[in-house]
Amino acid sequence: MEVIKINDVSMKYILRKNKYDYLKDRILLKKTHEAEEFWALKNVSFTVKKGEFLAIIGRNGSGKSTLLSIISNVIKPTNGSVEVDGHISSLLELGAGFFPDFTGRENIYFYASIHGRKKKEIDKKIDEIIEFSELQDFIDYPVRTYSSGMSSRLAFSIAINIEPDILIVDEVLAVGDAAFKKKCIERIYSIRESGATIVMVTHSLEMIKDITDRAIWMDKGRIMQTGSLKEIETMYREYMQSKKKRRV
Amino acid sequence: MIKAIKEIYDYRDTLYFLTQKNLTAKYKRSVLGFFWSLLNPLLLMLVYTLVFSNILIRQVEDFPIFLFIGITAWRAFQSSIMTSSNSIVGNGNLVKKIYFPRMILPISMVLVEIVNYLLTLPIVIAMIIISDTADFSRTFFLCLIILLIEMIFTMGLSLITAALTVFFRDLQHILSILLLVWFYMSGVIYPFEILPEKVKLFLSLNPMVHFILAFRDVMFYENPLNLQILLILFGVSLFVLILGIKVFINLQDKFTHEL
Repeated sequence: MEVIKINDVSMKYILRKNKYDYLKDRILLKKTHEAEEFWALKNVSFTVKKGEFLAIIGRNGSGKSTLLSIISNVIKPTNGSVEVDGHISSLLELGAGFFPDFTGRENIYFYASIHGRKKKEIDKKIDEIIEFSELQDFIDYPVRTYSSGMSSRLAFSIAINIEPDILIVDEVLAVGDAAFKKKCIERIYSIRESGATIVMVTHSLEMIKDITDRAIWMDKGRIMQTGSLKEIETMYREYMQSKKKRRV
Repeated sequence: MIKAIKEIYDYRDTLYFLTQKNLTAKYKRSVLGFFWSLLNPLLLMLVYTLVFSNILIRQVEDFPIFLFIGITAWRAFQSSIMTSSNSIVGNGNLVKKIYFPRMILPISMVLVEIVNYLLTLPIVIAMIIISDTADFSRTFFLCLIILLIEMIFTMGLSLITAALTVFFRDLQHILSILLLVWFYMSGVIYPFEILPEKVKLFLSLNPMVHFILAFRDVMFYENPLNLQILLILFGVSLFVLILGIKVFINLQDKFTHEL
């Protein structure tokens, strides 16, 4: 059964010279902004089956994160359609989106409820989430007092402990110390065993090589190749090598 | 549109947490806490009473109470609009990273102001009871009805300003000026009846005038409510709310590009 269907998706960004628009400029100066178009994704299609672990690799700026944002319903694609079946928990950027003035505990409630959990369910889960994050001593302090590592840990703990049907992870294993990283990978393995679907963007291929079912290699907003992680990794490395040589 | 409303209902827990947190944040971070939200209208009341004592006080008995009713009703409206207009832009990080119905953000701001108003209401009514004999429960019930209609109107406008501020960042500054003009046109600090006929006719197009008149009818003059006007107000407010939801839905897909 396919739980994610990406059908011919393209995403156009409008790049502006000046970041914001002002009503004053529009009305008084009749000024419209100079803008350039940029296609972050072009005609991307693929599906993900239930219980599958899909890795997405590619250079910076290849459209990986845009793709994850589209799957997470944070942005709407310019063309094409996206169908997602099930509760999504997405970690697009760790810690972003916490309310700095709220305590860790309050943020857990807010985050978990955004991901479709009811208050009673969160009441049951909250101890587990706090324990996993190892933030017991700080959980009732405002998140603005946390270090970036601490808020990452909190975000990760929430996202993987609310039992999502689909987990979307973007490059987040780059943060945190080795021990916490290991714990996260272990938890991702166990989520995977429980039948959840996982889509992950990462450069740390070594860590996920045992659980990846399929990998997608993206470049310049297009899918270059789909296949097993091993095949894709080899092709990707060769491609990057040839790029480097050409430059030399 | 029905889908959007249903979705907000599905996210009611999120809305609840957000509103609760905004309320505590509002009170926790200031030294005076909840009393700050009382102090503000009380101070305004004091200032206007001193300023207008010679001009208006002879026309209105219990002028401070008269003022306080208008100020609190106005403040619920104004604060909602101002905080809502910042609600999407101010939470840009959240909007860019997680999906949830974006309408929750401005709606929560309006809910905060409703609670805030309800907390000041007992004081108004206590003041009336001290100065007069009034039926507390009847007054309270009628106030709730007027407040409900006023907040339907406010929510509609809040959704519009929240969405538009994403696209025009200076809208907030423009709004604060517009709201100041609107304030003086709404009969908050003077009795509406003293205006010349022509001005009255023009200003009666302003729904805020009627909300404040209705609040005063109930709490101050203890007149029976003018049902006809209340129904018209309800119709207008509902229209504004539907318009607000439509505008918001049409614009929300473009939010992430502008934040």
